[in-house]
Amino acid sequence: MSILFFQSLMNGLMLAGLYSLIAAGVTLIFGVLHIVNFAQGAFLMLGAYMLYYVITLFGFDFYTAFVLAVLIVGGLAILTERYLYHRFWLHGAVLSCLVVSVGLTQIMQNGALLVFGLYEKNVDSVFSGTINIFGLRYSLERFMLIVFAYLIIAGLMVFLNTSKRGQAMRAVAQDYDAARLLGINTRRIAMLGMFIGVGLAAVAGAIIAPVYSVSAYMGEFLMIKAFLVIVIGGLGSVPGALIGAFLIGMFESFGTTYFGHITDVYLFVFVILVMLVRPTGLFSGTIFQIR
Amino acid sequence: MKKPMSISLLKGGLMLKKSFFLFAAVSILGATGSVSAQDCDDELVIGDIQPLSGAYGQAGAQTHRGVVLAAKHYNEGSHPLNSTPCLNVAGKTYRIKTVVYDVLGTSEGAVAAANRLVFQDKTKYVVGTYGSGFSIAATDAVFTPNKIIHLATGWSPKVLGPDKPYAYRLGPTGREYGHAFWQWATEGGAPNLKKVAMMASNDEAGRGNAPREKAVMEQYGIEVVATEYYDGTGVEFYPLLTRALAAKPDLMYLHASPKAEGLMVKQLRDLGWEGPIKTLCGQLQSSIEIAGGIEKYEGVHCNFGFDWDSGPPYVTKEMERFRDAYRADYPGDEPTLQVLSVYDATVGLMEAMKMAGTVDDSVKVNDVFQKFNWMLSLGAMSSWGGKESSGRAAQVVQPILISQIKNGKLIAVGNPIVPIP
Repeated sequence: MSILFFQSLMNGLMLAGLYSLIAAGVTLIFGVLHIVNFAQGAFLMLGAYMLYYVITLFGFDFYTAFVLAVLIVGGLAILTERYLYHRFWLHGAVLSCLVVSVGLTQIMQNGALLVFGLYEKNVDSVFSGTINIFGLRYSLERFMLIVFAYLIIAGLMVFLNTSKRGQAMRAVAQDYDAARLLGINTRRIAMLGMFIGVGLAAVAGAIIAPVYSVSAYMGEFLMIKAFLVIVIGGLGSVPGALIGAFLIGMFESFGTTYFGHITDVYLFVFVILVMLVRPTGLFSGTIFQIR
Repeated sequence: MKKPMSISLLKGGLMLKKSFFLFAAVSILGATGSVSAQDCDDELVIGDIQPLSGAYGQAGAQTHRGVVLAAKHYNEGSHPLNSTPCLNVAGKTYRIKTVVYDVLGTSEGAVAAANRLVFQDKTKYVVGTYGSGFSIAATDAVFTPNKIIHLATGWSPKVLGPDKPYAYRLGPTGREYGHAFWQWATEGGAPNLKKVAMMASNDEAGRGNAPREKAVMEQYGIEVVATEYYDGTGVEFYPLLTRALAAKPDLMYLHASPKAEGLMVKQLRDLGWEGPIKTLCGQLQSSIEIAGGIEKYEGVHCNFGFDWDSGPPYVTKEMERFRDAYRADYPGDEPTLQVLSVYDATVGLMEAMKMAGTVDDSVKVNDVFQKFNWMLSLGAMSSWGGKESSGRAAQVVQPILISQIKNGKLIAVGNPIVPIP
């Protein structure tokens, strides 16, 4: 296996892990709340900013700051669901909710510029240096990003498949009214879905903060890729999001390495071709039934 | 003296994007963005359109400071070419007021900002614009038809042209920086560099400039083994850098915004690249922080970044004066050479107004300006170049300082004046 191929493989794994976190969050929220949360990228950005400020203002170490950042953003997500999204999704006003989430993105991005300033924030890496993987020199912080992303995703899958609350979430996703009749506290489950979904974005924001630096618009480019992932994987399917993320990440990495920037065009051609064959995505409704 | 409100607000990070608030906020900046009251007869607006948010926000905000400082020094009478307060044109004195609007990262935003300057603020002079695409859109749609003199920094060949009689480029482009660098390198500065991989932004500036720089390198016998175009707003360059490194270059050349530059340097080092890098260093401190420390920048050759304390022959008395004024007004930040170019261009334009004897007739001022030469802070008289390449001699020719980071310190290694055909 050539070094170039191996390098592309590792790059692809990192991108796939990152896209998985964001896309899984979006698809989870869609499954439970039937909302396409366009504000996911803005929540990602908030996660990164929270990490930065918890470290710089309070002097916490990276790991403590990481947990606090995710909890703070997750808390904001619960408030968003409780006082904003809830009013719309309960009445099936999907389009209104979509517009609200786009508006929320603008408010959060502009608010971040206003409050946090124009200049990039930099978070010191806790995993500096490089490692040698079968002769390939690779950034340690990127390697840890891969490990961390897949651990989180694995934890999510275990939670959804084995825990009571995870099963309740799947029940709510499959049939909201039936779940309610069975005694599931649907309101609480909705909030939990929002907390976990947005929390995944905050996790993504926090782990890429040392890799890319922090800015108000850092979530934008990732959201575009995340939606490609979701479209391929099938909206509402967590496994679909993971497979979609893998496909997009690898396509982007190998394509760019071997064909250059034109890969962005090929990527959309690839997505359109998949859509032609499977209009609702590869794994639509595997975990979460679309109502 | 009271600090200009526009700048204190800019420093506070009051930058908004794509919102109503932006226009409201910047409008206030414009309305109040002047020095404290001077005993001048009237007020003259020098406008600017800049990217004040998004990927180029830092660069735009800093570039604008060149205009603000020039206006301030003329208002105070503290510039050697203007030793009495106010701009005196044909016996009437003017207090210079600077107004800047955010282009919001789009050509449409640039046109909207240009329209506001021309039709709301009634300015006939616009100086500083960072970013080729913004400049071209505003020049073509607003400035040229309304005979507004526009001095921009953009590197794209389309920034200038025979059909744009009021457009000027106020400093060197990658082509001139390339000439200066490769002249220095091939004459002994770095004779082992033979193959270059170039990273250029996939936009007007990158696409327009890359072929010109490639031609310059070929003149010096340098082979461009890879030219990769990247998304200027992106952050993940690993795959493209992997591709560029696979071409086995001797030097990596990064034409990038400060953020992209810092990330590329970081990612190149992560990928094991220990060879030389040539880049802009437009916001060097910020880029170094993004890259993860000065050690990542060891050996990097810079276009804009400069050690302002390196003394003669690289730092003139005028540069020292500019440096001290900049540091006093923007503590903690170091100016780039491009900010100095903006400063000097603003000075040149104001001197041309004096020479023309009018501030109201931009056609008359333009007639004078395009033949006008003035003393630059870099210690040389300005001249105009670019007739062969753009159809109009409308680019300021000035000495180019070549710098390199060695042992963690930015040092100047050369200052040639290269022709602009």
